[in-house]
Amino acid sequence: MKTIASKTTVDQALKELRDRLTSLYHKHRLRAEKLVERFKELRLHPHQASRYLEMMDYKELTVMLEKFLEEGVPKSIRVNTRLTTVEKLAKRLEEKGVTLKRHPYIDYGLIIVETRHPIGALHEYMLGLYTIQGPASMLAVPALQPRNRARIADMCAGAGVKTTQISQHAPSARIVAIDVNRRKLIALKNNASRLAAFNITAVRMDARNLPKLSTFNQILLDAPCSGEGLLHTSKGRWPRSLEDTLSRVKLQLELLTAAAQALADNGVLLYSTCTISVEENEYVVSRILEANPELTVENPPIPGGTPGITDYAGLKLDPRVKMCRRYYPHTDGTEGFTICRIVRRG
Amino acid sequence: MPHSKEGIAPLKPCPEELVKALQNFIKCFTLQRPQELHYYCRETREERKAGKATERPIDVYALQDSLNSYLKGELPEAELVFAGVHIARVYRRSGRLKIIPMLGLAQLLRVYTGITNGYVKVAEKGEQLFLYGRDVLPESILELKGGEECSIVVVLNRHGEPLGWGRIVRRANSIYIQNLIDAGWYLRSGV
Repeated sequence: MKTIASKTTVDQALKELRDRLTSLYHKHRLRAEKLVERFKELRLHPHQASRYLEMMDYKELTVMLEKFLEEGVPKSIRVNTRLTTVEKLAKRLEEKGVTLKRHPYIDYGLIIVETRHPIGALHEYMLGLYTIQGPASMLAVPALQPRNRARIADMCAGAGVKTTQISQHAPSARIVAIDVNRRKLIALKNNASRLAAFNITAVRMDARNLPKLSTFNQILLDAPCSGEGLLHTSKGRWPRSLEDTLSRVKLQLELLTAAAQALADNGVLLYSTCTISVEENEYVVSRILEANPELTVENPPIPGGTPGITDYAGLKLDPRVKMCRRYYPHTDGTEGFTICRIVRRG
Repeated sequence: MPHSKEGIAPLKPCPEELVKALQNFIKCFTLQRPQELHYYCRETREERKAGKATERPIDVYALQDSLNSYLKGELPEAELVFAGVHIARVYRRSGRLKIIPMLGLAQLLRVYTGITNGYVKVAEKGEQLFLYGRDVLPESILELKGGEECSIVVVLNRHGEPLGWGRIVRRANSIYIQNLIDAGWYLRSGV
């Protein structure tokens, strides 16, 4: 019988986090306030800064924040290999004055070094030959290893950037894209048409109800998060308070609980976020592992990144979360991103 | 059969009459028949007068064979927003089915059958103008093949990639291609 995290477990987790993070803030308060001042363009909250001080040593932290500050994360595109090849597309874009280089980790990714025109306004984009996607975000779907004929759920699909990537990997898979936002699903419909993805069905519902829908061999949960990995963008710069973190964690625990319940035997759940916060990654995964002993974490089959964090703020973190993978601008040249590959043993 | 809530009509397998009409339409552009695809239909919310009656046009979706079983009941209690790719909108006029192709149908032809007839290839300047919603003028036409049977042609760029759909308009000494729908529409529509 599958054990799921109850409301009590979620409440307990939130209480533990609130207590630990409040102590953490007091521990690092003075240095945190200096950091906030030094990097004021990043608009860090003192609580957020205290979490970063706990995560990594000061020297590395300042290197990372400098990288975010200089907006040193390039734009990138994902080539739609259903309609063209990387070489053909690269040649056409270069003829239009776009300077490109190969993605360091994905063979169908291209990094935009320089461009005369907005990359979303070129004909090749309109014709579905590529789509715009962050360099680390592009790694989540390969880490899932989508299989043809599998039942695959994309739990928070949005406009379908990763959903269409799943289709690109597995054009005969049965893909269900889920989101609460109808307007985003209409955008997904248009993207599916533009990118020639014929195996996606889109359902408007709260993804926390996923177990009512069906069981799935593979699930992608690219969870709503605080977006701290996007500090290199102006939209990504806003102060994240303790309450901001806790509200995201609550939703992530509920989504992970639903995903765990809907995952078939020998199934794969790929959990990813565009945040570097331990609370929203290793911590929530540890709680789900604790509540579901038949789940475990595997090394994702993708290059780059650094291991997950297992020692943080005195929180009880499962040692297996070391196999999660973290990406940072100063080590990988990507946006901040975290990926955990969870499997259900048969 | 899966149903949708909030007044959205359910997605159902298309009636045979419509599938035949669609397959005949596709013959204007290719001799090959798309394999591994199923067609689902949904009545739109748009109402239009058709004589004394009021009809609701039908949106047609093409989906991969593997997805077909989901729509035969594996997804209960779900509001299905779409399945597969939206390929056409169908109206009934004077007792006949009139097919308005969408961009998805051009992609279907490109991926599943190739486009060997009923197309116009345009030069770069024509491509630019067409993707901004303009018609294709005679000087931009590189090649025109077929188009008599259905009067609608797939508009291709010089690489053979579909830009959208057009209608052949004949003038005294020349022809031009009227823009029906183009791939730039998504950006202009704001969706």
